[in-house]
Amino acid sequence: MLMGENDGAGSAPVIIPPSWEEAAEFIAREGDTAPPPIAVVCGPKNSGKSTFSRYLLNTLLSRYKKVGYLDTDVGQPEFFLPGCLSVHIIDERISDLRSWSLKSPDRCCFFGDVSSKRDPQAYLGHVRGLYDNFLGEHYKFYEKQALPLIINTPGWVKGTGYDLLVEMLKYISPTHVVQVRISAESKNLPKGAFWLDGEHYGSLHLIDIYSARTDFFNQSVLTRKDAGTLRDRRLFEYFKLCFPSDLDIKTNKDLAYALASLCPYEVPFSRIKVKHLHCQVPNSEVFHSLNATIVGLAINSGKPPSSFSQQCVGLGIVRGIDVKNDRIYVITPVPIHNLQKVDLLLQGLIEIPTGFLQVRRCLSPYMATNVLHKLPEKDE
Amino acid sequence: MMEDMVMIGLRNEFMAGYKLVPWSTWEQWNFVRESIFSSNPESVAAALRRVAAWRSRGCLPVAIDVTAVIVEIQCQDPFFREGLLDGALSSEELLAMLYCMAIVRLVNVFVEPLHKKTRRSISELAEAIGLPRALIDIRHESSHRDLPSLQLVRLASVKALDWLKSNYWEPQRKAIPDVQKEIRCRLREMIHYIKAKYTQRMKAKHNTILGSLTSNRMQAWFLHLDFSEQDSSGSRSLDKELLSQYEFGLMCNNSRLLMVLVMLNSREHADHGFEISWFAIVGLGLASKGRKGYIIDDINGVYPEKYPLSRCSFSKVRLDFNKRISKISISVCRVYSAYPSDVVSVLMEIFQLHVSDFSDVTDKEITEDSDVRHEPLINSTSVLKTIITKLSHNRPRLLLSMLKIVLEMIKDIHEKGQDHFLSPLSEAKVCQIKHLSSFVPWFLMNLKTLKDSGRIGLMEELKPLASRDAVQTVSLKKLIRLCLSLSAVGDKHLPESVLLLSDLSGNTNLTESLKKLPLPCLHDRDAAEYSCSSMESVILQEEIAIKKATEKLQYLKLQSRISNAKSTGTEDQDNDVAKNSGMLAKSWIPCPIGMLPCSFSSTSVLPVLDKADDDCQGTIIPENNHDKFEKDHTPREKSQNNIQSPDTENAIKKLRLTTEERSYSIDVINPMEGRLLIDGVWKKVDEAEFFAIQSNIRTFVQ
Repeated sequence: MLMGENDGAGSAPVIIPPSWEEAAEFIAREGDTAPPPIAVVCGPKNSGKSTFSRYLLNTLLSRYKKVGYLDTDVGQPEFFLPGCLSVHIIDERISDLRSWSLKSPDRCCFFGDVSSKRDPQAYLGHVRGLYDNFLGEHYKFYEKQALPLIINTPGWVKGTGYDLLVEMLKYISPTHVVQVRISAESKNLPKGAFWLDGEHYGSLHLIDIYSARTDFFNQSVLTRKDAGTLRDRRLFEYFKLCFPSDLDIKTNKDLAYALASLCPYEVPFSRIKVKHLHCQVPNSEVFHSLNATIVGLAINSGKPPSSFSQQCVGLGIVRGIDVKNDRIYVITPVPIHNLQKVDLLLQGLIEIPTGFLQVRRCLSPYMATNVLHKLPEKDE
Repeated sequence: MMEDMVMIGLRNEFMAGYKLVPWSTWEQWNFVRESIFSSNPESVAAALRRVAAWRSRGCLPVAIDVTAVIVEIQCQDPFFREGLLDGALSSEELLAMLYCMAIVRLVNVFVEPLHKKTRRSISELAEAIGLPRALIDIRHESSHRDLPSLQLVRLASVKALDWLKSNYWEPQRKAIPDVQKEIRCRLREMIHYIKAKYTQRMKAKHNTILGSLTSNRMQAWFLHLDFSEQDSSGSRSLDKELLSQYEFGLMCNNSRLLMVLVMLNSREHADHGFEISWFAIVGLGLASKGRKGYIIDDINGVYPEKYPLSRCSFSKVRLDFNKRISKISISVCRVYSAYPSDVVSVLMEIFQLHVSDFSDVTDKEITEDSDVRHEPLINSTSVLKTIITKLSHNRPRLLLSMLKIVLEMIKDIHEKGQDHFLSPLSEAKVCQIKHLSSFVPWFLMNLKTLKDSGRIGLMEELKPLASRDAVQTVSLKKLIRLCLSLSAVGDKHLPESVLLLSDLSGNTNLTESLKKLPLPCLHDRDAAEYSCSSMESVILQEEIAIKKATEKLQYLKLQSRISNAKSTGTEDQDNDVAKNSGMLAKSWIPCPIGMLPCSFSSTSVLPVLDKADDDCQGTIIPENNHDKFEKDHTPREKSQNNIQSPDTENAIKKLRLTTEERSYSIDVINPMEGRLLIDGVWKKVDEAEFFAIQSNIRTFVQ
């Protein structure tokens, strides 16, 4: 359950159609004559954006030592955790194009929800911040060290999602835009450079590819994924890093028990600011809100917490709060030297997987029986 | 029909398994339920704040969400809050919009999923779940037509709340598992049997003393005894006759004969005979233990209708109460595994009840169904102890939990007393502490037994990642520290416990040094009582008080040394905060996420998450306390306090007061903090200063 499972539902082998190969080759070749490419991959959800991004990454790695990867899909991020936007610098080919693997980011922001819809402005702020940061750090021509960048986008391409994509593309002004299209035309993005109001293209290359898998009638077969389970698995994978790799953790239950037993970090609460990203929480209720939830651990370095400049070093579980002694206890795989810099806790709406709480002999008080529950379908 | 559909709407979501909820106890949920519909704006606001916190956790049931939204809008509506000046929305338009949105949400949230599933029309489904038609119309109007009027939607909001009440809040309230009631019931049963057993044993003893009889005679005697108790009036002669027959049978030690006699008699004397025969059977059972079951079966066969096995007949219990007690204890243990805190709190409830026997504490809340109190208090304490022994034999953690809770309560009472630290704790409180602390040594004895049998391990400080085996652990060091810090409260039991603990640790050095400690409570507290009979006695008392004070200083000093020597554990926070930040907790034990480990054992605690008022935290405490002390003073103490002003009283009295004040301050504050009240300000005092004060006191005496 925990490991080595495919991201996609089907176990069919990854098919890379010739058109994909061509597209990837084309992008990779560009850098020979021009600055390294900045390629945005976009398209409706489940169309194969991620798979193409990974394939492109591998292709680029055959020409570049390192490749930058900006992940803006907070729902199903490529290398990091749900609710996070991250920049990765990758120097290793991805061996299995289907499976998700955890990679520690070069830089990361905690948005705190699995969809950008709750706070589009903040979301855009994070994208811009991360992009600028990448340009500043890794895209310096004069040092001859500029890295190519792949930008993966969310599959939300209608309504506000579309507006956001337009804003992003305008800001980024990429060298390549790869549109993954599916057979259901109405779900696709508009053709062409839809974000530019018919202005000049410049050095922009537009590439359209079609989703790889089609059925008998040449209709796109979309890989449906259970987003919730995937997110939980990512969190499991991440918090497993709290333990030495030789520790025998095979099942969710093993991990849950190990987490309950793990000696947590203790952080004096008075030294820390808390920011609720998507909810208003009265000051008196902060602890009720924080206990046994997942939080983003951020370094704010004295700036007002309203700015988007916070840098997230990872996620943590607030596993207990000792109000009287001004201590909160946090479980996180973040190394201690980074953790010591953390001065801001970001609480979003990334729900703690119930698997973490349901342990024999260590059942969390937040798990209750006889609950009359009625939740609307809130997943996309 | 309508109700059936409501069931479909809500009850089919009723999960047998565990669900993630934003509250950590059902009490919290109940608090919100009661406050959110309260007429007191303060309580409503508190409930809304709590719901806001829950919302941020992401797993809030929609019914709560929608309720809170509607209530919050009503709070802004001058119509519902008379005299509301600020915070009210004056625009009727806006208010109407808010109400509409809330109602649209309510309808959608409860009807939409059904609509998707069944494809039936919204109004049809709404009717089926009993949602008032008015709400459906408002949803329709506000989505597709003009905005409905405020008057209409305001009325609808009341209906909506009523619907939520009867379709979420009430059903959920009823669905809350009442574990405590169940536990209470079982424990009460257990108490009953244990008491019965005690009574029996005492009787048996009594009989033995009555005469050194042969075992058969004794049983006959016993029969006599029970029989004469049962005997009411006229039937005496008959009974006597019967009894002599049984006695005969018993003497012959012939169970078969007795059996026959019983049957014969019972048939003859239809009603009354039965009772007597029953006692005979008991005797018989005693005489031939092995055949007990067989005989009972026989009797059951003879009188199937007369003999209700379930009846808790005095004698029947005696036959199998051991079996019963262990049976109940197993079932309680099973409950304990699932709901440890509930079992502990019910046990504490029983403790509390006994405290109220000691003193006249009347602020106890006794739920109607707990009639434990009305039962005769035969050896109530020992009954409790028996229960705990039995339970902790199977679940050693229970003992640790009980110990923890008792110590915590002592600490609590003690700390509350600090608010007005110059006045002694009230009689009732002292009594309560006494009662509670008397259990501590006993707990520790049991702990020792369990430790010796390997059921409870000692916590190793250098092992942060606890092993996975089920053995519960306890940190003696921390326990000693806790007991030491509490031993200032004034009862001999706690110092006694400290010694016990050091024994348990097997560290002879520690034991020796602890023995040398003049633990303050070993002295008679009454010696310090103020009596104004004569000047001489005043002086005498002063000397005693001063002596006490010096001893306590000595003790404090030693303690600070001890605590320095072994300053480990999570509760040492006085170090540099910055240095500590983001460090690994010094010790940890497996405990559920969302809870905290107990400081000395492998039990876990539900943390208190209410934020203390900012103005009574940290360094402000002393002044605050001082203020309170000024306010809370009884007149007598006030006058004493005035003595300090030079113009009123003589020097001797003044001296007396200061020493007493000091001794109190040591008495009452937590000595671990190493603080003393000097010139009305709590100051941290180091060792050198202790010495200085000590010598000062000596000079005062001379």
